[in-house]
Amino acid sequence: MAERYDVVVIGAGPSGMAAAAEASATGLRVALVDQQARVGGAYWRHEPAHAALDDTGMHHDWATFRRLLARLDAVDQLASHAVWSVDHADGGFVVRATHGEVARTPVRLDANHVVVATGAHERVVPFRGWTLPGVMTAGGGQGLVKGTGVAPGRRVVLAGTGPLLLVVADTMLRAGVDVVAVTERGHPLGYGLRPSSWSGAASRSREAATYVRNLAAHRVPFHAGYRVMAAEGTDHVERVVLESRRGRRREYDVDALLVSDGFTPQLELLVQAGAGTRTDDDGSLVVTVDVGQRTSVPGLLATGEVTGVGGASSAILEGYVAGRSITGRDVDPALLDRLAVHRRFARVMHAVHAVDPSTVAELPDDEIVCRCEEVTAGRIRAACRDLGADDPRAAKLMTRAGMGLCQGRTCGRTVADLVALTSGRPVDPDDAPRWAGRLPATPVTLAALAQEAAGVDQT
Amino acid sequence: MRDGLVVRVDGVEVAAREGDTVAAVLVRAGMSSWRRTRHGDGPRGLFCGMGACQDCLVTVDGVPGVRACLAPVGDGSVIETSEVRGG
Repeated sequence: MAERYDVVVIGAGPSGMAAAAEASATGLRVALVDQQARVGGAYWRHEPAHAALDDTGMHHDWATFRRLLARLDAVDQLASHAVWSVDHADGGFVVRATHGEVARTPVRLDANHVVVATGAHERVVPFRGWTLPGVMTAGGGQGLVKGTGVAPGRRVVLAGTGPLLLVVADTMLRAGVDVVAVTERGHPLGYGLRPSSWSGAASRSREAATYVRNLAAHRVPFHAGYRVMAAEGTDHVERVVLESRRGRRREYDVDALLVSDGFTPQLELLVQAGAGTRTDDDGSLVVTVDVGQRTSVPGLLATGEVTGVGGASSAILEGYVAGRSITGRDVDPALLDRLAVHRRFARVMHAVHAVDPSTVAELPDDEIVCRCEEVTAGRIRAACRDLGADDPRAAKLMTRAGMGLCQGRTCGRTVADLVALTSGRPVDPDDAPRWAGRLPATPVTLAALAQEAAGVDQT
Repeated sequence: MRDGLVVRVDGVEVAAREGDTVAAVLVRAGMSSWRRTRHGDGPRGLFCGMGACQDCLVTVDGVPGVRACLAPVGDGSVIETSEVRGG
């Protein structure tokens, strides 16, 4: 029989942990579901032994993790559960998952309330050579170090845009990796030019200063205004070519390139369940929520990056708010004030680290855009010019871009930008929900579907 | 290794640690790609590192299409890459 819960929280990162802790505090039956083997999400990815330590020398805000973990004793923690569907049933919801990346046992949970805290995955704007092994997302490289102690390379360059680059550089230095350069597309001075960020910036700028000092101590050069032009190598990245807006080039020999151009919130489950969405000021598709973190679907709440990319501090606060609003408890106004400060800061962060969509115009025709189906920029451009495609769905049907295993997670934004740029038709805000609303939200085997349909006992 | 797990990668015994993902074992063993693409025969390994991109697929205990970045290893796990293409 399926388990019935008052609340199922999907995603055990900072926001999901906070929501589960707060909801269970009043005695509600709560499940916290995550596809990773351990709670903490990408932000607190850790080795098994770390959970018992006060300080690992590696994790940020570790005391908060330990405090939240201690509050999850009464919560059913369902690790290694990949949720592929959230559906309406019997006045509540049915959450379908598979347990175990290898075993893939079907699991069904019934819930009165669902909190979606699935976070975001990193965005990478393609460049020549971005499919070469050794090129990976900055957060992915950091997760490998924090979760397993394995470094993604010995000599690395960090590139892209956003505060995460400094954080990951710091992690790599602590792990003994030779960070040969950190490059940022934007200009960090942009924060100083936007006074609305100052009130929320005190703790963040102190944190950033710590990273910058560590970079300086290791003599790591920081280049603002540079982007990656190419990763070169045969079967592995061996060299990175960077270029400034004025055309100045820098080259580094590396064995890993860690890139982050911001984040793409993981909205699949929310769109599936019918929650209303909006386009955030960084261009991301995010879910619309009210002051209690409630979506447009009664009983369905959302917290953290799926409501707007803002970082762990605001994600935790939103988790608390959701946990309280489920039971109709009042939310401390001081908490909402703190959230408002974080959100103002997030808007400034988005502006400073905006990626100009026209940079996809530089992509060579023979470079891959859709990694799964190996669709090149040239084929997408041809679909627009020769076959009349003027929206991402048409381009997808004509070229298979976004039709592979990742279901367009990795290439979606790029395809939309490329189609808009080539066809001249601006990106339609309704395109992104159509692209995101796919079922299943994560690959599921036919065997698991068949067992689920046959009602095989899963407990 | 301190936790003494042993797994097999393409028939070869490799030491692993408690809490390792398949990807951690492969990268520690010096591999950066363990799959070839269907059309362009391009090498692929870790990219997103968090279960979203599906680039790092590998066969574990006979089950294909396993995300190396997510799957934990256990003692005796059998990992098969397709880096050396059999067809």
